[in-house]
Amino acid sequence: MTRALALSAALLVPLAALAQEAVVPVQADVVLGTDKVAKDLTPPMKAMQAALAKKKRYGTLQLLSSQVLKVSKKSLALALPNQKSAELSLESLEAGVATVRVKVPPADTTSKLGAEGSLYVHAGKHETGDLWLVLSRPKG
Amino acid sequence: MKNPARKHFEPKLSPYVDGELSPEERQEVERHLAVDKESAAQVADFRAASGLVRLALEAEADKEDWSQFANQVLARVTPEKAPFFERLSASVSEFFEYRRGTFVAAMAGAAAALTVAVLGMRLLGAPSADGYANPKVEVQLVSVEESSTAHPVVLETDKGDAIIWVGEDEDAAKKSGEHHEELEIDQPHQGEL
Repeated sequence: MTRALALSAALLVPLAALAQEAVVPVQADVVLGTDKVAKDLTPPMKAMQAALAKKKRYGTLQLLSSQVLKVSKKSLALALPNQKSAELSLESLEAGVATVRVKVPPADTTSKLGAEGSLYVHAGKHETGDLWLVLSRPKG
Repeated sequence: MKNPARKHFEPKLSPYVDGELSPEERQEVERHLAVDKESAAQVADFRAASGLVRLALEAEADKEDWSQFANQVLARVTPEKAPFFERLSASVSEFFEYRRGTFVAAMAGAAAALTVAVLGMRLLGAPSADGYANPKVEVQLVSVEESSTAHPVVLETDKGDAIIWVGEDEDAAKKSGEHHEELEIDQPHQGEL
């Protein structure tokens, strides 16, 4: 009986480790903000415009790409249109709170993800505007 | 004067008594003993002498204590250790031969425990298991490369957003206003919030 329990534990440890390999889905949008005044903005872009207005009010916010990334301990690269590359990695996942590291040269940031709100990371200049990497909880 | 038959068989009499002859020779000697009383008497003498010797040796042996003989011999014998893989193979085959039930029970127990663990994680931890248990985004640390002159500024909104602005002009960043809402980095290149 003792051997059976020991064998069970030996089997469970690696399986549990596999089951607990942390992966966090992150909605990653790349948005270009310019001064050119747009006729109409989509609701998400309007919300972003309002959020960024504390720093700068963009006339236009254009969604360039949108994808859901599986962020884990292993660094994940995301190519940006301004020849830069963003790197995302999961620093920790404790009590359901994910802490992610986002490196967009020259900045290196570490943040806790939230159920509400987005993380806007300035990714440098692009064409005549500013490029933004927007991280949030995947919709749906 | 010995008869020729006795002269021929006499050297074989002692080996006959000691059981050292082949079956054919033994039969020849026994046929000779049936007809030659002198050889038969000599064989009887040999057997008597052999019996006396045996009795004497047994008497000598009885004087010794042989009760621990077997244990002492076995204690001096070092069992030869089989190669590792041979022992491993024997252990595995023995395990599956005699403990198959234990193995199956252990596998079943492990599978059941894993199932319970996974279901428990899904049922109990569902709301926060995806990494978004925090109500809003919180910036922990912002730094810039040492070679860069960029100045990071962190802002938060009422809706739980966090904004990380990396301005190239340090003075411009400081002049951007609304300082009461900005979590501005004190150090030019690195800060922890």
